[in-house]
Parts: sequence; structure tokens; C-alpha cells
Amino acid sequence: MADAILAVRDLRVRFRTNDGMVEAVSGIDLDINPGEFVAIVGESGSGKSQSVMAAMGLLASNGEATGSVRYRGTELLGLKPAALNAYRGRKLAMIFQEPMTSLDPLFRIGTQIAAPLRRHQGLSRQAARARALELLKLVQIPRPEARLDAYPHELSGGQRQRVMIAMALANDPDILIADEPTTALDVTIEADILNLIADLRQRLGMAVILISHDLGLVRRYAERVYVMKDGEVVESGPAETLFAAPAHPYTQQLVAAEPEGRKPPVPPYAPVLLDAKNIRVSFDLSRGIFRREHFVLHAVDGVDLTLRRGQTIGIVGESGSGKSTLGRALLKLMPSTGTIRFEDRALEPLDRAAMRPLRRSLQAVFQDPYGSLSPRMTVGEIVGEGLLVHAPQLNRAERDRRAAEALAEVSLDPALRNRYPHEFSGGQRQRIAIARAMILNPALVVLDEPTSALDRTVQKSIVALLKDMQTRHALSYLFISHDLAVVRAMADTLMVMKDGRVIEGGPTEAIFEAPREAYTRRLLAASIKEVREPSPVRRGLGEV
Amino acid sequence: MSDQALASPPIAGRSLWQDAATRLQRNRAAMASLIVLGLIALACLIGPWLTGHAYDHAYQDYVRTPASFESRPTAEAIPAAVQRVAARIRATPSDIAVNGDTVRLTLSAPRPIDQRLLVYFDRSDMFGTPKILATAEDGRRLSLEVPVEHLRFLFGTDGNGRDLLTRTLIAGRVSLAIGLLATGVALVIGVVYGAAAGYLGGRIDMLMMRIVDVLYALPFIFFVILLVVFFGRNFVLMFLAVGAIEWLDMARIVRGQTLSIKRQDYVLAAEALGVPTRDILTRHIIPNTLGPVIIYVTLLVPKVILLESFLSFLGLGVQEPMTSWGVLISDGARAIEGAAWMLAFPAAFLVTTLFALNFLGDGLRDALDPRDR
Repeated sequence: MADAILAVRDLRVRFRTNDGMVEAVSGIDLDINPGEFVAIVGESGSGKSQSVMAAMGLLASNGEATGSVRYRGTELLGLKPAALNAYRGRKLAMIFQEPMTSLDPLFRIGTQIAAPLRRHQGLSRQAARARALELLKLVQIPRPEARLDAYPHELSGGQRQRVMIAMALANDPDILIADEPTTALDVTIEADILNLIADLRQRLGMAVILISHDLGLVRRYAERVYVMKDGEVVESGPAETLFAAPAHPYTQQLVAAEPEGRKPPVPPYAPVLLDAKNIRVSFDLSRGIFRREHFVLHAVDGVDLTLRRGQTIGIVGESGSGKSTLGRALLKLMPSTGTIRFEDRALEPLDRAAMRPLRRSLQAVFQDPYGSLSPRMTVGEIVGEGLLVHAPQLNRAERDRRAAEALAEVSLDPALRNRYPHEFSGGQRQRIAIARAMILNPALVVLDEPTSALDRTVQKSIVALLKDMQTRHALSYLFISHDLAVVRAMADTLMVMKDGRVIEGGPTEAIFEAPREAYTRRLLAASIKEVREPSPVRRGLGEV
Repeated sequence: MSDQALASPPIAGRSLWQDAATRLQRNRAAMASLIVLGLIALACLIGPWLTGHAYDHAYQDYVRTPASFESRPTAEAIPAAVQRVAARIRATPSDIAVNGDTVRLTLSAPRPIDQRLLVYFDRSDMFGTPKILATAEDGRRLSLEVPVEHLRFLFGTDGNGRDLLTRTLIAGRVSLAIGLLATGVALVIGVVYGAAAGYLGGRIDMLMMRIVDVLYALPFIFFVILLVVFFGRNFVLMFLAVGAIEWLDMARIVRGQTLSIKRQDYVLAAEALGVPTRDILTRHIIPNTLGPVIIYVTLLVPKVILLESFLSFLGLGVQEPMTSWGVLISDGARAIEGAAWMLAFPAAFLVTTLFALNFLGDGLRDALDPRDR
């Protein structure tokens, strides 16, 4: 395409590592036309971010790029940083995934937006401030005048991402590159931010490159799509045709990666495993000497919950709704008030030592597969650690054998048990975490966002594994998630939490069919992005 | 990355430590420092046996001899030395002829020479037992052949005529030992205390850290003088005193690390498994704090060596004839006008060691920093 404003040809990105050169991007071609909304999709490790980073000259110090990246005919690869700065930040602007860390916490919002304006455009202090205000209005931040003097911590995640967009727009870029701009945000905010980007694109006539792993999002907003896998573009084309009839098997696999199946409810006569009444978790945030400013935050505020054998209760809600805190309180990993009965034993009077024998039956799998495995222990030691506590009579060889069995049960090669966690992928690590919980034959497992940090296809396999484990061992799950698509596949009962309270509960399908609360409806609307069905909002319809 | 990607024959895993080691090996400055440190340690360990001098032997004839590769005494110095010995024997030397390893000379005196006094040649550090070749004029004239004893002082000698090379190496033993042992004391106390305070948290943490604060407030010198007053000057006290002060920093560092590690999901997972507190500390928390701790240790060793030097400089450290780099440097500093080598050599050793440790610390920090990965 001759009129492309950004043309990438045979771009290769390599990294020097301890294991020699690793090629992250192996010869891709991309064309971005003026005013176009292009998406690059792929799973983690597909090289989608690195290809754009290379074009922007933002590779890590051990990386190198070859090939050609031309912006309106000017070769960008190999330019010195000073020369590159004439383009990046001005013509090519970028917003990143993590709005929490992209802003300097020490400076006011207005100052941070104004600084590049004053430097690059030579505006006076007044003019820069006026322009900053204008930009904040453009990105639809409520009360923009007041926000100019606010510090980043006073803003929510979504607002910070809007500020980042405002900063990217400051120099009227031709291309806005958004690298997973909503991954760190709640689903309801995600839609707002993308609608804003789509709307701004329309009004300012710039091209947008959206890098995402979320096909639902891409389908909703992008005109043209590149699908990347292992550093190569495996398929590209207009979004509509590509999603309607994916040609490459990998694209087909991605499109079909929605978790499938529904869980039938347990019979009402199934024995009650866990019965919690009026659970409250409070944090005393009182300040000052003698705690004069009295303030108590109720993270969980009077929740009742009954879990039967074989049942899966899905707990959904946005971040800060108290769903993780509830899970931890039920496992007595966090002090709480209220009554918890587990198999006819009251848990609340038990102290740490008295709790220990019961821990065998109450297990947990956490969200972050990178953080939940001790980095200096081998996988075999991690999986076998529970046995050290609950079956101390076993010798080392026996523990090792059981750990190997547990790994095999989660479809991991037991020969890898002498390796360390950092040598595994995210999905494999989550399998290790599941093996660690399952080796003790628990009755109840609290799954705290076990699939949130994983790619869709991996998510699907983990969901299948968890359901398989459940039927084999008659497990009960407490499934905490913000992702309703996964919850729908996993849980037979649903609890919607908001601000520490359960606002709606009942059989999953009933709630999906007819949500009662407005909040639930909003959550459902934002998170169910059918990839295969055409969606109403696209292109010009993005204006809100 | 697909889940099956790592299916491969059973290989032993590569731990984070091994990763760090490969990165460290690629850092030239750090590796050079490691080699230099090894050489210095080796020299200090076995060197004193190879120099041919005892560290506490004072050569009265060689007080403040400059550093040189030449063997002593030099040919020019021999006549003067013979003059000195002859004066003690109350005789006048003549026909002094230096001939390789021997000196031939004739002693004459107005009265017969007491041959027992010839032992003064022996007592001198320069000559061996003299041989009487001929006696004339009733013993008032002696022809002697005296062997010359050659000595080498590569680093020169100090104000008491002791070989500086030997003393520098002996001093290195003391300084390095204090550096390692005091750091070891600080490491053990600091890591255990800090990890316990950080993990247990709440009131226990408050109490433990206030104790640290109180100890911080105690002036170090005051503390050492107190120890010296109560227990007398003692080599072991040095370790104790320095270690007892330095663990405070270590405890704070480890506590800070622990506070962040405590919130990691793997600690929570261990709690959910019911792992007892002690095992959580030893299996999960302490191994993961070790990265920053190792870096701090490489910076603590030079700090401790300097502290010891400072104490010795004040006269509170090791006692004569034992010595340390600090003592040698303080002696050298006093003699800087007349005998610059007395300062230069010990200082060179100390500075080289400190540089090497700092480079190594930097290298370790780079190697262990997970952000590099």
C-alpha cells in the first residue's frame, strides 16, 4: 500500500539472553493507513508488543531490531534517539498498559501534561495550562479544572489512563499506539476507555494501533487485524471477514477460545460443606495520635454463604468489591468476624495451630502464577511442601513420588519437577499451583482469579482441568473472578459483590438470563464480548 | 507459549542463583575483582611463611629501610656497617675489601683485641660469624673474613626495622578475618532478627525495631570503650563489637525485604497449606531476601575493615606486635615525611581490597537484580 503512513517491512527483533540470541519478532510486515483503526492480536510471547517497541526505539538494552520501519517515507530504525524524538511522542504517540506507574506520583496532573508542551511547542506557562485543560476536556475527565491540580494518586485507574491519553494527544499525533490499554482496568471502565479512543480517532483523524490479547475488544473496535503468533503474522485482513471466517488454524483456535460448557447445579440434598454467616472484615484506617480521626473500612460487610459438596460458587465483582478478601477470610488467612462452620466444626475459635490440621481440606489457588510460587524452590519442593506439614511421616523419596503424581495429574511432565518456577510459562505455573493444592486431597478449594493472568487459550485449558478435577475428586470450589465468561463456564451458583456486600445471588444461568440489579447488568454487558457474533458498536458508533 | 512447550527429557533446573552466577561471570570488573580478592587472601594466608622474615622480628640495622628489590646490605653500606661494629669492639678497621658474600678486613687497636667481642659481628643483622685468618702484633691486629648475610625487604622496613611485606600480609589476615567474621556475625543476627520482626509484624515488630533504634542511638566508640574497659583489650571483642553494631543495618534491610515478600502470594499459599511460622521464615522468606543481603554484605566487609582500622588507629584495636592494615596505615601516616613506603604499601593493599569488594558488590547487584531478566 503506497499511502500507508507507517510501513513495516521484514522487521526482526532479537534479544541477547543467557541462552544465546532469542528472536521475538521474525520478519513481519505491517501497513498502517491514515486514520485507520488497526489491531495486533496475539497471546503473550507472540511478539506483538516488541514489534511496536522496536518501531518506537524503546527496546530493552539487550534487544536489537533489523528490517525497515518507515513513517511517511522516513526510516525510523537506526535513528539516533535525538532524531527519533522528532517523531516519537509527536507523530507516533503511545499509551501503556499500567496507568498506575506511568505517571510520576510527585507532580500534579496539569504540570505533567504541560511539561512536554512547554518543551516541544515552546508554549508559555499560561498557554500550556490552557492546552492541558483543553486536553483533559477532550478525554472527558469529570471536573477537568480541579483535576489539573490533582496528584495522580487522587485519580482512579480509568482516569489515569485518560490522563495518559491526554498526554499522548498533546502533540496531535498521526498514530496513537495503545499497548493493552485496558488490561489493568475493570471491565466496565475498559469499554469507556476504548469508546473514548475510538471517538478521538474519529474527531482527530489519527490512526490507532491497538495491541491486545482480547479478541472481543478487537472485534468490537478494529477495522483491520493482524494476528501474531511466535513472532510472525499468521493472518491479517479486515476484522469482519477475519473473524467471520478465520483461515489460519491458530486464528480459529483463538476465536474458539471462549471457555465452554456450563456446570449443572448440585442437588439440594448435597451435604453442606461450608456455612458462613455474617462475615465481616474491617480495616481500621484511623489516623493521628490517639486515633482521633476514626475511620473503619468494611472490605467485607456481612456476607452469608453456604457451599455444598460438589458445588461451585462464583463470586464476581470489580476490583475493590471485597471478593478476594472474602475468600481469604473464609480460609482464616485474614481476621474476620461472623461464624464459619466447616463440616460441622466452627472455625472461628481455632487459632493458628488448631487450624493447621484443617488446612489440609481447605486449599487455595491464587491469581498471579508468577507470584504464588516461591522463586528459589524447585517445583517438586513446592508441590510437596503440603506433605511436609500434613504427612510428616513420609520420607523424601515418597514425597517426591507423590509430587510427581500430582504433577502428572495436572498434565505436567513429572520429569520437570527439579526445575524452578521461572522456567515455566504462566499456564504451566498455574497448573503447578493447582497441583500444590490438590496433593492434599482437599474438600474445598478457593480459586482466587486463577485464570485472570492467562491467555484465552490457556485459560480454557485451565478451566477444563479444574472442572475435571472437580468431578474426579468431588471438590467444592469458591471461584472468585471478574471475568464473567469464565465464571459462567465454571460456577453453578453466582454471587455478585459490590462494596463488600452481596447484591445479587442465585443460580448462574438465571442471573445471566435475567439480571436483577443494574450493576449486574452493567458487568454483564461489559464483559460478555461474543467474538463470533457481530457486535453493534464499531467505528462511528463508538461515540458516546 | 503453549503448555506443552517445555516437554523435554528430565533436566535439572537452573536456579536463580545459577542464572546470577552466569551473569556475574560475564561482568569483567566483578570477575577481575574476585580474582584479585582471591590472590590477596591467598597471599595473606601463605605469604608470611614465604617472605623469610618473621612479622615481629626487628632488624636493628635496618630501621626504616626503603623498599627495594636489591638485597641488603648494599656494597656501599658495608664499610660503614663494619665501622660501626669495629667501634663496639674498640678497634679500627682497615683494608676493607668486599668480595662477593664475604668481607675481608683488618682490625687494629692500641691494646690486644678481646676476641670474644667479635660476637658483635654475629649480633649485627648484616654479618655472620667472623673467621680469624691471622693474628699479628700480639693480638693487636686481626685479619678477619666475615660472611655477609643478605636480606631482602621488598616493601622496606618499619620504624622498628621489621619487614613491611610480612607485616602487611599478617595485617591482611587480621583485617580480612575481622571483615569476614564481623560481617558473618552481623549477617546471622541481622537476617534472623529482621526476618522475624518483618514477618511477625504488629506489636512484636514495633518492639523489636524500637530495640534496634535504641541500639542505634548508642555511640559506637562509647560502646567499644565500654567493652574494652570491662573485658580488657581482646581480639575477639573486636568481632563482637563490630558485629554487634553492624547487624542493625542488616536487620532493617531484611525487615524491609520481608515486609514486601510477606505480601507475596507464595507466602499466603504457604500459610494456606498450614506451614508453621518457622518454616515459612526459613523456606520462603529468608532465601528470597538473600539477594539484597549478599550485596549489602560485600559493602559491609569493606566498611568493617575500615571500622577496625579506625579503632586500631585510636589504639583500641589489635595490639603490638600483632597488626592490621589500619595500624600499619596509622604508623605510615606518622612517618610519611621520611618513609613514604610505610604508608604506601599497606594503603595499596587496603584500597585494592576495598575497590575489589565494591566492584564485586556492584557486579552482584547487577547479577541478582531481577529487573535485568
